[in-house]
Amino acid sequence: MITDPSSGEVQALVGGKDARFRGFNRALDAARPIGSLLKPAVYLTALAEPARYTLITPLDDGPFVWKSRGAPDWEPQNYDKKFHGRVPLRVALAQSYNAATARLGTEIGVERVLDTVKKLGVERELSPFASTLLGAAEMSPLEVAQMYQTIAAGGFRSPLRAIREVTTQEGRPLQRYPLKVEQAFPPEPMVLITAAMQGVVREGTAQGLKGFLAPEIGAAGKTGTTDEQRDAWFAGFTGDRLAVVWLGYDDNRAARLSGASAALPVWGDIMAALLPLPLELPPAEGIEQVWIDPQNNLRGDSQCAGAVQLPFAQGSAPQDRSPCVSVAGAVADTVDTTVKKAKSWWERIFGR
Amino acid sequence: MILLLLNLGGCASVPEQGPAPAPVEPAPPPSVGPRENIAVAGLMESARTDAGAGRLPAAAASLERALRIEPRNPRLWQQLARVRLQQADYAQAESLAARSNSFAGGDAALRAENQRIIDEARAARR
Repeated sequence: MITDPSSGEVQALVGGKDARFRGFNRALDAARPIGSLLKPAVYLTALAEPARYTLITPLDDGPFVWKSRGAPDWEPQNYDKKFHGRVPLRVALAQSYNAATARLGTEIGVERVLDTVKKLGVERELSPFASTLLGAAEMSPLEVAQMYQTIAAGGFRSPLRAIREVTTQEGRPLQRYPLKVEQAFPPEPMVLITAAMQGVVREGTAQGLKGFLAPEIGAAGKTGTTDEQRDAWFAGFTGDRLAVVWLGYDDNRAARLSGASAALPVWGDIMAALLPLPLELPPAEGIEQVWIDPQNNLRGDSQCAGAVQLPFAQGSAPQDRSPCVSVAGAVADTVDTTVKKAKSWWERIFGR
Repeated sequence: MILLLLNLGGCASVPEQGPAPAPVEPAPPPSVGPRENIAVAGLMESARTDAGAGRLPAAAASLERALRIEPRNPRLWQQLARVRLQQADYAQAESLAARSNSFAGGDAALRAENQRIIDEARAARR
């Protein structure tokens, strides 16, 4: 499915090899486990509490056991069968670590994650068990597109539409289906989750997109692979398009497909041909961009080795400076900030 | 500081010091906002006319068409918010004004107008 993120209009939909088949349309009707595609909802719920979680908050990707009465212990494994210890929150999403996500999700509370999923536009009731956090939930590609639509539109949910209006033969409108938006989330957590999902593409499980899209496009997305690789998913967006790809067999057999190896190339191929616009998030008032030294999670500058510039909700970024900050670097950054402020003052007075 | 800003704007050249100062290129006249694409400007005008004449669904349809061309244009979202206000769709008026704000950047006048629409929509729903 391909949609326009700002209006929710469905631009393309393919439900199977036979595009004209009038029966079961997988894009609309095939409810399949979504696996890791649910993870952005977990991380969005966390990032909405900047006092507790930021993009650099260390998470524990160690062995995790969830006990619930009357059910066997749940011990999620990571895709590579390894545990990775302490990892920054954004890395846990980029690499789709199950243990870290399960721990994070149970810490926040499954109910709160389900509430986020509902606010993202999913109407289906998901089961309130911990396993839902890792996507033991079934959705159709249409429902996944609705969920990711709200993220792609910066928190403004629009119902997906394929019809604008119904008219008489003479063109007189009988029924209109107008554009509707609803602000489901404030802008700040949306900037944060989008940055994290850009990390999935830049450094994480969706790096394969490098072969299809230039890095300047800044695409954001999430890979999804389910048990025994029965389902391969990729959902992602650029500046002007959202697309969801699902591959699998109707009889649910193990397809030996992964989101990254099977769904991602399909997505990349489609998007590359559509000449996408770069993803540029409109600046949010409550967000500041901060250079971080990943060695110690302290405030760095552009000259620090390996430093990354990340968005933070105002007041949630580390205050202490890393030893890597040199006077020259600090001065360079101050000049850079002053020049940027002056430019934006100029633009406000004189227009773009 | 002013000279630094002029250079950043790239609009005017710095006059040379010396006995015969070189002519300074005039800066382009300050624009109130970015100019719209011609098709979008036409649709906005058509929407304005329709809204003025009470043809609100037609006004909204023109604005939706314009938004398909320029989805990040805050003036389009604002104009649609105003149409919804006229149609007494207060929930949509508020949401659309908020959407306009998300693209408004530092445009204080635009934001103020969006806030006015939001306030009016909320008051009407009380």
